[in-house]
Amino acid sequence: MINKIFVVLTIFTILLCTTGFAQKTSHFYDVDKEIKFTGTIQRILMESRYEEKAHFLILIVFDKKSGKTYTVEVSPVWFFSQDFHAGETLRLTGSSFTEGGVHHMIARQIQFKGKRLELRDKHGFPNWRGGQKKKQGIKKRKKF
Amino acid sequence: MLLNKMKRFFILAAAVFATFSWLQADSFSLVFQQSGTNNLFQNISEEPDQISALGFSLEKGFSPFSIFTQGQYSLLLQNPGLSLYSHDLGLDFLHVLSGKTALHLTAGLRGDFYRSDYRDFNSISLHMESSVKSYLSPSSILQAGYVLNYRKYRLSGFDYVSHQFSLAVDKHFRTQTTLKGEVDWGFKSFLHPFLPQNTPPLPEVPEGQKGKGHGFAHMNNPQIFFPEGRETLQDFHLQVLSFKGQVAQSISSLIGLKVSGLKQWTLSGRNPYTTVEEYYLIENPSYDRFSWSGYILEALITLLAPGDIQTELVYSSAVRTFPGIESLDSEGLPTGMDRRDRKNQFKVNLQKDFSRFSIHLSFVHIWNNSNDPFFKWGGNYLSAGIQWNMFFGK
Repeated sequence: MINKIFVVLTIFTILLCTTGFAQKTSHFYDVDKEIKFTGTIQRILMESRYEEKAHFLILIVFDKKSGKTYTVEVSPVWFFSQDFHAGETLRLTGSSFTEGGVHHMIARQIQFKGKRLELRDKHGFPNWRGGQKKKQGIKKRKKF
Repeated sequence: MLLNKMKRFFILAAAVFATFSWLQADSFSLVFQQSGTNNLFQNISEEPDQISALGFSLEKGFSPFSIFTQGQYSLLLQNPGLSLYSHDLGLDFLHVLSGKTALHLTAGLRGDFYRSDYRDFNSISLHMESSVKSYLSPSSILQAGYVLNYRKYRLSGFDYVSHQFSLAVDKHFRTQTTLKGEVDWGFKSFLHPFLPQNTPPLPEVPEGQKGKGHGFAHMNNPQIFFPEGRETLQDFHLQVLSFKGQVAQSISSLIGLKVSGLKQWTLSGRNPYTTVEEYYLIENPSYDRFSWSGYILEALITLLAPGDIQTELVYSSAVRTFPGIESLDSEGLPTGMDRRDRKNQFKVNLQKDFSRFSIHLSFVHIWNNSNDPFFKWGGNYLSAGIQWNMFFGK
């Protein structure tokens, strides 16, 4: 009987904690301004984008079709165990905006070399987890 | 006994959830994986089993720091004594030195806790890792890293401390080809590779089991890993050096190819144990990257199949010699040679990502040849899993 009470209390505690996770947060990704293009990386940078948050990986990508150069915000630096190089071709999907004459994109999806990286869900909420992230099941450490 | 362990598990899980709820974790994920094989212990005995694993991970960022924790419980169907719970807790630090260079540090604690049959392999480890990544030019990356690992087992004969240094540089060309070279040096020191004085003797080998060499009852009797009569502290270590070369070619955004070769030497030292064994998804302390010398060749194709299914096809061939591990013949008698294995492996990985979760499927076929007949084996491994992610940060 005591054991059953203990299990119920523990499950209740877990549920109580997880309800706190249900709150949605605002985001700057605008799904109505989503575009797709294939471009070539010109430069790779690491910059601070949001106050009190980790530096972001930024790609400067040239779209040959439109002739535009985009500053693409990818993700916090440490999410990526992928190594990007200038000259690599990417297929990008993301929310675009123009500020001060500069074309920007918040990337949602990057496709290259047969891989597809889902950075955000279809609503623009980030999918990444930080640090040298640990695969579940078979634990391997990836280099950032 | 089982209920007490479940109680401890729930207490730990509830405490972790409560802590990260209070801290308002940035991300949370759950993973369930179901795996099956016809050869769990990867030897001639071909013992089948199924493994069900349930795991979670939580992370909270306080730029430039991040704390993380993850836990996983793995339950084996045929060998429930090998079921285990493992938990990681750590701290990450990222510092961008310039627009092109970043420093990453991580420190963590990990615990692995097995059920009754494997409890001598329970362990606590402390690991620290540092790495620097810098763009030498927009198309060339330099990476350097160091890893320190200290691990203490319930059976102290497996305790060790290890150091690893690595240096890698790559260059991308206009032909969409990337060349990469990497050198790694590692040193592993076995702190006291002998059995405590009060260790009970090995049981008698039952009739019908003789001739199976060291495969008998290894999981219940870890003493089998230690030579008889070793009671004094000797300097056992392994020092290894490896070079790896890699060529990657992007065919299009849908297809990529990669070919790599690695050569590893044992510069000094030898394995202190009587055998080296590697199990499927269950760690055995006798086998790791320090325990062998030899080479590995690998070819990998990645492609985005119809339906946005990420597909990987991998073939690898490895030849490994285990310094200090003597091969035995079919009668269990030493041959006078170090054990040498040739392992060929073919793997298919499939992954489909959805909005908040992803599913994966993996199949591996392995055939291993060895100068020790106990390690001439073949095996199939099938795994399917689902991962659910949530992000709560701003």
